[in-house]
Amino acid sequence: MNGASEHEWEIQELAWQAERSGLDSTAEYGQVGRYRLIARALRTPLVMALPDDFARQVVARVSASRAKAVPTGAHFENVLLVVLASILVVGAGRVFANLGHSWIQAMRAALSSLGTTNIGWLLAFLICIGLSWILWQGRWLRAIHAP
Amino acid sequence: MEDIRGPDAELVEAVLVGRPGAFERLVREHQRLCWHIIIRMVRNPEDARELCQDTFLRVHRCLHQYRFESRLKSWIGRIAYSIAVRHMKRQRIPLAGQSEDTPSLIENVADDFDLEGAWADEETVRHLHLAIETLPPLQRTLLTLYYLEELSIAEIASITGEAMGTIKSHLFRSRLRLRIEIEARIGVVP
Repeated sequence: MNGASEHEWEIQELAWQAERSGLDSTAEYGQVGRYRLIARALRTPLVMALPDDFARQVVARVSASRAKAVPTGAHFENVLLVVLASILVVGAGRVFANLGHSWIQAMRAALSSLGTTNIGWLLAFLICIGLSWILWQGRWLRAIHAP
Repeated sequence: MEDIRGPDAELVEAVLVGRPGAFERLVREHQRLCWHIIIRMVRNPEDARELCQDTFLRVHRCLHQYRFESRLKSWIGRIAYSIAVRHMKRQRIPLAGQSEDTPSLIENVADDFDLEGAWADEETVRHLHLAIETLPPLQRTLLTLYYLEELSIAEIASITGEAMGTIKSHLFRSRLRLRIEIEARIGVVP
């Protein structure tokens, strides 16, 4: 800014300070008076405003977007779970196809080497595991349905 | 960077931990500033309302990134301003006036001015408001932040990302242009 502009800036600021402080405005010096008129117009509240319930509307939108985000995330997790499970099943199938024959032979040999008594104990062990699993499932179901 | 916590810290913490009513309070405290920035930039009330909502949605999403390096008010104002600027660019609306629009400095005349009389004249005031409306969006917004929000030039610089010298220059030229408009209407008595 040159000297004249600096002087004009000072008048503009002087007018703003006078208007802001509510100083006496009678017989105001021309330039200051005109800039005070501008300041007064600029300080006038805008006619248009946000609705009274704007804050509540925003909060509702935030809640809605959050609620929408949860199923999207859950959906993504479900898809990922299905994809990974499919890969696991296909992989397991291929491994079984390659090695299953030798496994079955090994199991047959192991079972034939066991006596009848040992097979009975093995069955009792499997029944125990099965019963424990059923009881645990029942407890878990009660827990998730509890209020 | 300076750490400006003060009363903002409590409110920010409350919003971040999800205390009921905290975010609504944050919106209430800053919606006026947000509205003033956006409506002065975009002018269309429906667009402005939508952009104000977008601003607070972004505030909610990014509040954990607020580092108290400026006042919360300035941080929110900056988001509102950037959202408005993006909207204007999408609509291909220029933000600031052309440099040739700068009015040349006119001679000051030592006269008396009846401020209250001019303010009481509805036509003069209406003419002045129309002149304000015809200013480019950036200049309109800067004047509103300076006069209506009573922000300092440094705070306006923090919101708009403009240099303080640029803001001073815009304020100076806009006020001079408005003064010329008034004098063209009501005349100058030497």
